[in-house]
Amino acid sequence: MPTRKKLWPSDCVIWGTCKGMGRTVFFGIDGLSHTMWRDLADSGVMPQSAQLIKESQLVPMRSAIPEVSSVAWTSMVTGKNPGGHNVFGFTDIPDNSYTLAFTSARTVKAPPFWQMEGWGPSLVMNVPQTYPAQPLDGTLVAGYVALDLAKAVYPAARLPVFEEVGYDIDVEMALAWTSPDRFFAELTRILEARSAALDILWSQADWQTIAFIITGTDRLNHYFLDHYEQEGALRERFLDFYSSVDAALGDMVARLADDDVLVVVSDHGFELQEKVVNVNHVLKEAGLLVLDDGPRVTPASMQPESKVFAMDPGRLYLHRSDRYPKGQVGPGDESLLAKISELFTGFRHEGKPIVERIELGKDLYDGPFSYRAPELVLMPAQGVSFSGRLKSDGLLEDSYIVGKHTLEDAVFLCRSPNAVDLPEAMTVFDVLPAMNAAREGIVE
Amino acid sequence: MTDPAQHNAGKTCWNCPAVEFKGHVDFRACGQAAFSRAAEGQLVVECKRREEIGYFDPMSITYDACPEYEATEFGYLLRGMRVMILGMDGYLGWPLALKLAKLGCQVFGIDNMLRRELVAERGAQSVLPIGSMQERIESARELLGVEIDFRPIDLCDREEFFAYVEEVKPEAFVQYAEIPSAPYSMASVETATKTIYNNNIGTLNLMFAMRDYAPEASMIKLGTMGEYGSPLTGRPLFEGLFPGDAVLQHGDDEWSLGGELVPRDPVSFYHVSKVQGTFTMYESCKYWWLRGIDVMQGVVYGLHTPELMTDPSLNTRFDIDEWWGTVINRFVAQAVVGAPLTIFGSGNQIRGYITVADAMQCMIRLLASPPEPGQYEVVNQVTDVLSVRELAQTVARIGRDEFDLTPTIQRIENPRVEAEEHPYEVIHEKLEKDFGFSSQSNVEDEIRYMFKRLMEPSSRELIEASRDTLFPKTLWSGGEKTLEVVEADLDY
Amino acid sequence: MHHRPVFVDFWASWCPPCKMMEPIVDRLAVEYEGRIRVAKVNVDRNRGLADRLNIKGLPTYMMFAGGASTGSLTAAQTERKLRGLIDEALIAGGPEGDTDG
Repeated sequence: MPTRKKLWPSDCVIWGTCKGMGRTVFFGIDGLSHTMWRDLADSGVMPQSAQLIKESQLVPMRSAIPEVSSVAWTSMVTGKNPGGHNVFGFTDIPDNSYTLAFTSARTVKAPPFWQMEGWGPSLVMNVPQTYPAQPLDGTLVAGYVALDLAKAVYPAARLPVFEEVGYDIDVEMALAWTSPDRFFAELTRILEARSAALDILWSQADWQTIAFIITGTDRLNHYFLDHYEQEGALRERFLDFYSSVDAALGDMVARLADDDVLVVVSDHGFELQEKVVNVNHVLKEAGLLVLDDGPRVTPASMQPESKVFAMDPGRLYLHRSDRYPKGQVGPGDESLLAKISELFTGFRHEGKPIVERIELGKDLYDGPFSYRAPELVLMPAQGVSFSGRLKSDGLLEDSYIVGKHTLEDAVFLCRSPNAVDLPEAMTVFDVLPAMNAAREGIVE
Repeated sequence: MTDPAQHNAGKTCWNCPAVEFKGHVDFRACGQAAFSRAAEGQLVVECKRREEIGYFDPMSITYDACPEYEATEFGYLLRGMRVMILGMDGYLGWPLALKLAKLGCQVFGIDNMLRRELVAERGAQSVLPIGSMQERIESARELLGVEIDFRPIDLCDREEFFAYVEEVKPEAFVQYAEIPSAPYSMASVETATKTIYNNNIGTLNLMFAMRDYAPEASMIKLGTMGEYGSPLTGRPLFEGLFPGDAVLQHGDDEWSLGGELVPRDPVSFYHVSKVQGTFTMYESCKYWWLRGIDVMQGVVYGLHTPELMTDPSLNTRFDIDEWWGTVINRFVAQAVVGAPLTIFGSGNQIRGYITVADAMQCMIRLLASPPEPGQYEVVNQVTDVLSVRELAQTVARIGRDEFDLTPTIQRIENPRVEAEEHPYEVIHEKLEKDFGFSSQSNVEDEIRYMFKRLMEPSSRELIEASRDTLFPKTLWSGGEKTLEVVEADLDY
Repeated sequence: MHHRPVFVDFWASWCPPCKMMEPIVDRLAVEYEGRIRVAKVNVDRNRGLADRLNIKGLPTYMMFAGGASTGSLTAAQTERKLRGLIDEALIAGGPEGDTDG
């Protein structure tokens, strides 16, 4: 039975006035698939995980649609679907413009749990989609996409902690193919820096909620998943990194007491990638997307007769007159949806389909922002990744990436004093409700 | 020919000073950051004026779709653009300040007031009465309703200048703060040194200030057509860089000269300083990804812009002495007081000319359409190509026929070292083709207007008082002398 | 499917020769229309591609036929040399491929 470490000053009045003592810890491992976790736990690569799994409820979890990190994490931390929180992918076009913007904390229109009553003070580290850092009752360092550490930290006074430990939000991508050796070294260094920052901040306040996400695993899986399947020196290093992740998880568990709620999650699963298909290329060949001639290719290059375009990874938007300056598809006109769906379900590359199924936006999303949703979302066939790049030189795109996300097979683990009733088929939208249920017995 | 108000409608954030380059992001790899050269991914920027967009593709917003841009007759202009004019007290600096302020720009300026000093030293003065900078700013406030910020700072004073730049964070710079006089620069080693130091160290300071405090701003530097000289071979004066199909042949080989800087052949130490300024700018843009336009301006003349016409209290300075006056302005002044119009040597020297009004239009169009990051752009800012003799004859004729004057034209020994008979072909297309420029002036009307103003008693008196500075004395070969008249009473 | 050779012009804003060569490239694009495709790649906005193709100086003009590079030239070029680069690729690419669909 782990004893509670005395982390508060002994004369702390908080001790007596806390309604409940239990903290909530939200520990994320980006891109960890349920299958891989179980395998690594069973094979001895991740012993702390093995122990933890024994004491907890662990189920596979379905990600969001589309199965990209920004959507999944945001859904988990807000408890809402994209129609409620407004993050539908990594890119976003503000209404009535053609500006191709990246989603950020400003895009998120529903409060995350650390902004909710009774959760603070919170320590939030490295949750994707939280840049630029927004004020909260606590401390936050944002996760990707973030290129400026100074704007990623709240409050600004905490910045020295991160500079001191050599904190980096993300690993430099190009190392994966220019210098794998350095890539692995950097992944480890960055994880260590994150843990070091956590160590320092842990004791600086009486945190009620702690969110800590490890994202190196996603980067690792994207570029080296193929090495997981085959013997070799890189496989060793791949496994070593997961062992380090396991140790970090173990360190977190060791800090906790019996009445703390611990939730370990991932945002999606992973599988090997065979090809990257440029969706806009298919639309162009079918005459549904027409761009201006010229070197500059942006959404503003769409000619008025364009009917539909794609955004990452497989989101399809009709070029509507009430959403886009040059759009000519009438509001409410759904006549094209069937034709577009057929185009993709019937499409073959080397004899194989590229789409597994197509979802209708209106079936997936509800909430005040569902009017901004894609009309159709393409779910890729196995091994297929979609690219939403407007510029295309052909159907397929070159890529250094070997691993792609899967909709199924993410991870949800919960260890709490009271067992929680989990749904039959757990999804990222059920995470916050599950956390609330787990906390019910602990926090009033 | 482009619609003059739409020349920059399709430009994007890639050309805009309000943008901040952040890095590359690959959204295929979950928005992973990419800092090194080998990286994949989408270049992203943030807009300093519209923070709420976050990171975005800079090519995806055009000027005509951006709420920070306003349509004006000169093209789309960044709303309240912060423009810093270096040399705001000068002949061109002041009219530009007024025009930009009226267009809604936030105008900031510096000047070391050296020009006033040097003109006074020569025993001359501006023949359009001008007040102090403070008085002129006050008039601008009252009569045009605009606020102009001015600091009496020397561009060569690094500390003060850098501090002002850091405070203002300009979105554009206009470099007018140079000693513009060829005869002055040839008068002595002291004046040559002063010219070269002032002009080059000033420009150097500007490049460093941009690098450190305003790297996304654009700069427009006043160069001069005189940088090119007047090649006897008759090679046309291309706009700063050789066109793509220019070829150098030697022996059996040939090489493309496309994009190389065209040869320079400066004819005074002032012109030498301008050539160095060109190289300073050209290099800095490459090293530091700065946006620069080098304006090879023809001889500027006139005093006729809508803002200047508002009231005498808004006059710009107007010099007519040998060192500080430009040729057409001098000819008119000479005619007004009955001094002979002095042509140096044969008078067949050909130059490019442009009025102040046209020059202002050009500058604003250039400010409205900054180059891409790292791009060094050159334009030849010229509307008319004329010989000195033709100009003297035109001025004299108008003075006689329309203003009852009795001008005389003299040819005198040429104090300069320059070719007097030479071919001269100026390529000046970019301003029209790429920036929508269309001349609103013509030589004769401008001369007429100058006569009207300079014949007003206040001006006439001032010209009289500076009478003996009208006749040239400074030799390029050093020293001064009374130059001989080679031909008196030319016909016109 | 198009099998025309591709003429790629690698350029950047800070490269004056790149800009001055544009009219020549455009002229050749018109002249060889239907026989080659012309692509202009800004190396600052496409660093990954520029790096993979080992672009060391600008401008660089590279021809691709049948998926491989048939030649490249770096620095401003006379029109004659550019034609040479293109014509070589047309010969290497074999008889004209399918007409555009």
